Amino acid sequence: MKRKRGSGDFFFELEAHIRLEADRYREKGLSEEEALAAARRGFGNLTRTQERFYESRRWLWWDSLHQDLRFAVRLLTKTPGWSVIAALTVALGIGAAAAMFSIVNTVLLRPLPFPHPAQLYSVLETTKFGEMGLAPDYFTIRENLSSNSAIRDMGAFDSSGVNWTGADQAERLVAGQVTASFFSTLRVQPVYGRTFLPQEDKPGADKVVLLSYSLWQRRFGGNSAIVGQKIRLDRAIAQVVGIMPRWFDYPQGSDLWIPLALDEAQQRQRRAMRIVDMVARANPSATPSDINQELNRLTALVTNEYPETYKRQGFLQTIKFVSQPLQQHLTGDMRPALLVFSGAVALMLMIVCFTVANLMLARATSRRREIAVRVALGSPRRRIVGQLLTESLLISLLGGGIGLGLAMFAIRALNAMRQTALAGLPEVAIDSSTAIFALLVTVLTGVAFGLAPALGSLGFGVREVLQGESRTASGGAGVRRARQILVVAQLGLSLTLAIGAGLLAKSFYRLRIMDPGFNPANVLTARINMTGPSYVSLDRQREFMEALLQQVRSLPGVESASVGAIPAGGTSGNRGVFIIENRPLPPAGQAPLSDFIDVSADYFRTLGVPLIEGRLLTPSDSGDAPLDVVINQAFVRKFFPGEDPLGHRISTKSLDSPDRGWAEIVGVVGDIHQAGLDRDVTPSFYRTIQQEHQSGLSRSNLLIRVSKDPAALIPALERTVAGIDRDQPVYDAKTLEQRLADSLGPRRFDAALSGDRPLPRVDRSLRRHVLPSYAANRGDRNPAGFGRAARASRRADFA
Amino acid sequence: MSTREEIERLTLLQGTLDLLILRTLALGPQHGQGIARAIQDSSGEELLVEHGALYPALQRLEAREWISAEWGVSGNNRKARFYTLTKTGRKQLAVETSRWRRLAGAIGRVLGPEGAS
Repeated sequence: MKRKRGSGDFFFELEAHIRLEADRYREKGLSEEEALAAARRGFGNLTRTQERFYESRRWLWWDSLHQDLRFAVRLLTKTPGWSVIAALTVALGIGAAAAMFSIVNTVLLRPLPFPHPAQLYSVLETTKFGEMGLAPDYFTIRENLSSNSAIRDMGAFDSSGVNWTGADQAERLVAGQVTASFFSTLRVQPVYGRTFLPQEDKPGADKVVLLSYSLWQRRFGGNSAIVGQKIRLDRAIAQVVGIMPRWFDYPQGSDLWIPLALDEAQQRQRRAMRIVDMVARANPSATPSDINQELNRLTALVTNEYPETYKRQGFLQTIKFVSQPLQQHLTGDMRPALLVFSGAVALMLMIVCFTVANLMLARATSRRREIAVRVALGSPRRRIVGQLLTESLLISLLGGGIGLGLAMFAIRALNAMRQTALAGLPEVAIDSSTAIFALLVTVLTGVAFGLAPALGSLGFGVREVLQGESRTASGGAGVRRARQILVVAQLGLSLTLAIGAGLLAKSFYRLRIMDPGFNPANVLTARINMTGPSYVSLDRQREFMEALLQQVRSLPGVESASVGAIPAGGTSGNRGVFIIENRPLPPAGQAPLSDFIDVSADYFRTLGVPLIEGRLLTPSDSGDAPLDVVINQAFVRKFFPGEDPLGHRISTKSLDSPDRGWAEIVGVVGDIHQAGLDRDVTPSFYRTIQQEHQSGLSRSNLLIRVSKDPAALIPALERTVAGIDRDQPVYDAKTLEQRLADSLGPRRFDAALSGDRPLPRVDRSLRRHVLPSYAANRGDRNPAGFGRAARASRRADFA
Repeated sequence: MSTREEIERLTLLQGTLDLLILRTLALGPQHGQGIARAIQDSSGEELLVEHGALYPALQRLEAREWISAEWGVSGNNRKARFYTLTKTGRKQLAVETSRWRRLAGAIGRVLGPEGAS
């Protein structure tokens, strides 16, 4: 490129021109002076030509922008109050928008971190009960996949807890249980070592384990020599075969991964099967409809393979495999809530625009004289609009900057809540795309609230203003009208938002003032999961638990200690059918449902649950003594309306069992919101752990009432447990008040969806009813099969 | 003279002025005043080139690299900026010329033989 030509050079050229012209005139006989004058005349407007040269060489708008900016800054600093209010208003809007965008971006837009994430699908099973979210026919499906089918590979996985022992202190860890094909399906490589071999993914194989990056850093000091070493999980030896990359977190929250080791024979028969999640990788060329066709084919194969199984389990006849893009599957629950919130934020942004536009208009009115003077002096209208837009953009940029700061603050707070209230939400980060989004919104906002007043400011007669003929308070009819429209729109939108927020606050408030049915103050709760050969028998479990309760009671400050379900969504009891003595048997499939909760005698005293009538369970309700149960008021309302329940007997044994195992109702206690404050109290009965037991004590919850500061008891509790068995971790220790506060978290998220309980949850509670009976036996770890259902419903909590 | 009229006339001139400048320079390098003079002379004084419009046009053509410029000395020993047609400028002249001929011919056909209206 050539160097830019200066205006001096141009001026010389023009001068040369004049002189050449003058020469010509002189040749024609004009005098020196006349010749020059004629040349000048012939040229026309010299200054204008120079101006045009100047304009052609420069970004003129940059010049005027510079001027406008300087003027805008001067003006804004002259009315600091006005400027601060306007900028802060914008900051609120932009901040909310940026925060919301970064959540939506993280959850819905950003692709999953796996290679070719669009090829990944979640495979689910639907029946007439709706989507089950499980796909147990792993083996049949997998052996029918070929290299040219729409689905390339499939992996199955589940999540469970393991006790890691052998270090200074035993620790409870979250284990992803995965098939060997899981990692190859996701195409994830470990940073050290290798993933599982097919022969390691079989029952009875030598145990192997992959560590998560964070566990490796936290407990093994990031030393790669751990690969190949052995660690103790659930009191068994497992060899570390690899370390997974830092970003890999699937199933979410895994500290380590162990082989799923499905039992092929049991799984294929749909007897005693494990309920697992399945992830599939589609052929790159496969369309969603190809995948659905493939799944239809597989559904037919699976149903035809074991016709009796499917006939016996009636509802299985409606079975169908369906797929869902993995990203959608992982975030689908959050999508409606996020969209609703996005809408609210957009609405808020509009209100911000209207508010600031109104502020601008108010000021524009008082500036009409200034503008009129500029117009009269020949300033083009375009320049005046540009000036006003510059002012509004300056305000919105100022507000946008503050807003981005607000958004960062909000996101930090959100991430802090992630562990408790927003389980399932990935860590949200404000990244460059958020910044770009914020800038874009800022500029758009600036133009939006600046344009109307700027255009409106021109809608008056210059002469009238200058002559002071129309000095009414709010200016010309156009401006007045614009302001009226703005105020109406503002009011309408604000009202909409206020109603939404009011509904949200109301349902939240209802929960806050609700009586949970127990006294959460000064109660510490914790969990224990007894694993390993020494705790196989129920007697050993009881022994451990009795020793523990006794020692805990002797700790300073402890008033009572007990075992039982943790209320407010901590843990729930088992749910199942039962019959009442001397009542006609209900038709099949319609037996009454109740929660049954196994507790130690001190449970009600620890929680402060009132006795309504009869008596509580006592230590003498043990061993061979007649079985006694205590029921809650919801149970009375449902099954003994207007009747005295005391003395009646109920049974949970199956109808053809010779020993009915009748248990006598000896007392009625107050209702506890067991599953969470936002759930109804379900009919429940309480059995003592000293008597008949179904699910065993291997997974137990401790509830300890102390005189003050329950959290301070945690170290002593850990020491006490380690003192009885140093390989046994106690985990998830939290005060009951903390749990109660956490349980309200998800509510904040979904209350916006509707004034009351959102629909998806109804579907999920149905799943909770259906699942336990469907998955009658899911394996040794959790015979009753409730863990999964509870997990599913927990997962639903953030919906 | 109102601003508006001036702008209208300039836009009317713009396309043709460029063509005339290129045509003039096809005969050899020339300075601004010479170009204006040459156009006026060769048009039989019918076309009056407003000098104020000439220089922005030269500026524009130079920016498109159809012409190049250099300071030199005129016949009567005055310093002047001389413009030369470049290679692309020569091509452009051919294009513009044929376009103008077509346009003029088409307009002529529409208007019909002289004295028809």
